[in-house]
Amino acid sequence: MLDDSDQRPPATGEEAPPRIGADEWVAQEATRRRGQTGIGGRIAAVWESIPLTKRFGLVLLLLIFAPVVTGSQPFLDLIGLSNDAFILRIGARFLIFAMLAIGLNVVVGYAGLLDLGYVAFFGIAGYLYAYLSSDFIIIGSMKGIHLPTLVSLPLIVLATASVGRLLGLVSLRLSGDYLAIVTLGFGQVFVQLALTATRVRVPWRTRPIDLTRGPNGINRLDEVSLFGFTFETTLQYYYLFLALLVLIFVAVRHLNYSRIGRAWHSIRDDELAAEAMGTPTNRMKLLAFTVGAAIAAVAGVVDAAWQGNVVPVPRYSVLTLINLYAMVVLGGIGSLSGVVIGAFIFTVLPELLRSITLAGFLFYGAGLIGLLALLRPLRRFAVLLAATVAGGLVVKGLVLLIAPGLDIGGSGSGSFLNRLVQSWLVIPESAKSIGNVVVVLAVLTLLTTILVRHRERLFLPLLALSLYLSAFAWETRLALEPAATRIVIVGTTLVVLMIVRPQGLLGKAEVRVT
Amino acid sequence: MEIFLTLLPQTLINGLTLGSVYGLIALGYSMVYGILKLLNFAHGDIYMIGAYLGYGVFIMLFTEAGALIPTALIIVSMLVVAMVGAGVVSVAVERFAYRPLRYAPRIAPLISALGVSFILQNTVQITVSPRPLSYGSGTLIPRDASFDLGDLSVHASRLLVIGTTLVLMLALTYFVRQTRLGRAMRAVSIDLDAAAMMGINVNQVILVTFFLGAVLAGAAGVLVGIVFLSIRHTMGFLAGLKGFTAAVVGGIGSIPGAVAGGLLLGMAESFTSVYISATFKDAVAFIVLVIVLLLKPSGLMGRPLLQKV
Amino acid sequence: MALLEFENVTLNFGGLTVINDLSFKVEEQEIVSLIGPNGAGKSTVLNILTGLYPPGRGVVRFDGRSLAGLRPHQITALGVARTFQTLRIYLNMSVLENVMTGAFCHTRCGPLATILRLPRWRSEEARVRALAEENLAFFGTRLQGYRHNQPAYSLSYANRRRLEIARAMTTGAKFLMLDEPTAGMNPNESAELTELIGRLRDEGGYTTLLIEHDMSVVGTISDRVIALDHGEKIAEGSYDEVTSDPKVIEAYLGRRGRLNP
Repeated sequence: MLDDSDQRPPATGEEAPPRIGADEWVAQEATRRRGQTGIGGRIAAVWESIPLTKRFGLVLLLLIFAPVVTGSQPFLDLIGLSNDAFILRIGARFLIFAMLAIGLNVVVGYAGLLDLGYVAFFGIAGYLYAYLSSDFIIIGSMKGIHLPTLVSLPLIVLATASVGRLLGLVSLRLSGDYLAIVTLGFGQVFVQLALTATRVRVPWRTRPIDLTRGPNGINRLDEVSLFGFTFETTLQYYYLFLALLVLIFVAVRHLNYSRIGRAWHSIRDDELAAEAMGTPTNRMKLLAFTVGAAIAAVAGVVDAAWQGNVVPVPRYSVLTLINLYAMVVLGGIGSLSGVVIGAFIFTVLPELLRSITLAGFLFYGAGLIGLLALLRPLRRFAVLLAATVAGGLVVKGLVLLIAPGLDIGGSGSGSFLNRLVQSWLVIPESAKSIGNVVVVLAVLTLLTTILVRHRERLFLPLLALSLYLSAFAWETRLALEPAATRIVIVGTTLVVLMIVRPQGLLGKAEVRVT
Repeated sequence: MEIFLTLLPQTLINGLTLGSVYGLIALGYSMVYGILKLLNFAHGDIYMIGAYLGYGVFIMLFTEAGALIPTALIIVSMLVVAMVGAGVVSVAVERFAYRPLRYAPRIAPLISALGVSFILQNTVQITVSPRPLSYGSGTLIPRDASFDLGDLSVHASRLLVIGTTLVLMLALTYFVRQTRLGRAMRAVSIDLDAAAMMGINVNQVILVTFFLGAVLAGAAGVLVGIVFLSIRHTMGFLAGLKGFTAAVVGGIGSIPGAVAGGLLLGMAESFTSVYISATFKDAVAFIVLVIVLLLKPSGLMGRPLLQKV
Repeated sequence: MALLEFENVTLNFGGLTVINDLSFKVEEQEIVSLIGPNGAGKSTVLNILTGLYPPGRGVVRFDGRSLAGLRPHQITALGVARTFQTLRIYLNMSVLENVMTGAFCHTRCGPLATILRLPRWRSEEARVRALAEENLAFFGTRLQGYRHNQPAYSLSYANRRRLEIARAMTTGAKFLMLDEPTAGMNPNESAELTELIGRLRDEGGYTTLLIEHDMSVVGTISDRVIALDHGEKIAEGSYDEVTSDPKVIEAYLGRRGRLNP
């Protein structure tokens, strides 16, 4: 259909008649694929009409002034906090994770190397900082090493990058999934050693030495001090992190739009062709590992200094790794702004889920919006909602008629929404153990519902049942276990996201030859 | 030297026990990878599910008044429930989390697998308990139920592990080599699309593969509980990692390879913790992996991949 | 001195002899075609030359220098570039980026210069871009204008082949190896590409080693034709000489038969 022998440039001006198979159809291909329609599309279009540098500038301004806003009294009154320490901590953590995600993106997104040991570099840098900037190492009469940050930071970045290079060297002979498993093993060994290397025997000393202080980690690390200024408050660290993030962002962006970035992309797309076209693939892969590790090292040092300690679990464990991957993948692998947005979402979202009230709103809100989007026409959604509510009331009525003592009502915890839902449900006395079963039942019903989604007669009743069960599970168990529930929600988000949009929010859909 | 010799038999038995467990887990990894080229990170958690199901049966049949039925029957029912249950969970995971991603970019099913791993672990934490569950020493199999082989005394639970592993592996080998479905599995592992065009129901074969892999992992979960007397919801991660390491070391896609890899890893770990330091017992698996992959990139018994230019 | 020399090259793969005692030369600014039935070892010759296959016995010299022990990218840097029979472009990169990747081996800016965008990075980047645009312009209007920023996966088959040639040109190579460049093209496109290969020599000064099944292409542009069968050279000479050689006819058609020109 595409007439390839057509040699004319794309038609311009109104007088050009529309031709089937003409090149403008091909020219608009990217726009069509993006499918920008509706309100979201219009907002995106306005946003994209702003020049790139100005867009970055706007976001930067927002981040610079964010602490001013969150620290102001009206804002604190609005959200009901007495000070903004909590929000600042989240902000600072977001900036650290944004740095890490950018670094991981270099390795995974640009060079296509599935590095599952990335967090170890974060950890190695943290521990090195602890060694160089605390009372931990005692040599003779000297109590601890306390190097100035300007000396220790470059040293640590260099050392960590060398470790990254070394791991890269080992991995050069491995491809794809083998690389993944070796790096995952590497990361795991680091955590295990940090946890257990407390009694290591060395030939030149009679007593075993403690290298890591085990699960408690090393405390009382020095603050960062630069040019005589010592960073102490979270607010000061926030601006330090922001400055570092901007530097890293710009540096990686420059690398990406250069021969080096192109070399990485070509390796990701077709390593053999890249090598045959004059790209030293091994050297470029090592460079990606090194750059990634160096960025992780910067983040590791300032993070350890800010927190004042290093602890192996959970900070340097696989949980952090998966969080990082979630950020990179959610934002869109290979997209620098995307991974920063991903980092923002995945640091802020879990914090919101900490509060039962907010988590409840998110749970029910996301559920309803999801259903609203899935069930077309709108009438089906209305029918479903009405049927669920009515069904619940019928059950409630029956229980009140037959066995009035069974329903003791909810715990009354949470917001008005929770209390509303709880008074609608039948909540018996042994809600906790029944709730455990219902959690599993709710998952089973939901999965069955997905299986029968093409059979309308079964689909809607089952969906209503799963909604009831989910509400029950939420009120009796999930909302009471926020820590684990958060992780379940993150996990579910990952699975659903992969199925719905594997390229992430800002990523480009990839094409692969099989 | 004398200490070395005294500890040797027990170290070997420990290594064999651990190796059997790793081998069982490795088989599931290896089979799934062989067919879908998918790193099924949730496999370790399937093993954990098996351990919990087995424990559930144990609690039901072993009340405070004592065992309701003979111990042997309890163990058999634990194994059967855990194996079937783990199989069903695994099949559901494949159906809902992996199948929609069969033609997605390589990283998508990997992330999905990590998500599933999160879900399984934390659902168990919420619905059962965040604390480890204990069998109680000597409850199921008495502490003195040992067999003496010369100077060496081997506890019955360890023989149970080694024996069960042996039986399951023989059954699996028979299945893959001799049955129609087993042949279909081998065909799909060589070329999925071609097999589909030759009239093989690929979806069915993949489900069977996931089921079988999970059956073995479920059994491993029960056996680990019986030997080490304690299970917890996070046990799947490290065990899964080592199982996969074993599969890679042995040569992914190869059944005897997975077993050999498991045994090698188990032995290495057991010897390290006895003769060097327990600190390094987890690191040694990684070191073995790196050494094997550098010497023989396709694993001990794997076939090298050909690339056409 | 010949630009490329194969001297008694033999390559075995697990007991199977793929190339057997092969010797030939390619002179500067020559277009030499390698022909032969499927499995004759044509692509293997290319893979040996680019360092993708381990060197067997014998010597391969380019510009008087032995290629033994060099990695593929080093060989490319010496001035040997190729295209692939199976088309290996970077599908997810833009057309222009695809071509620009070829310039890696003759650009020098390291990470530091890149991050700081030093003046020498700017001039180098501008030079690479200009070179890539120039090489794309070689193919007329097909890969021009708005196409520069399109992802390569949106290109047609024929355009992908052209893109691959442009990428190979950007490596700065003076010796191009084209592996079935007209496969999958219609007769018009084939004829056009044939003319283009001629222009590559006349205007660009390239030396070309061509693997091709389409005898009309081979006949039109080859200065010399080498016929392979079972990894051995069975004939060499002008197109007419080779195609009327009984051994070549036999290799293609079995005994008794005539090769259709």
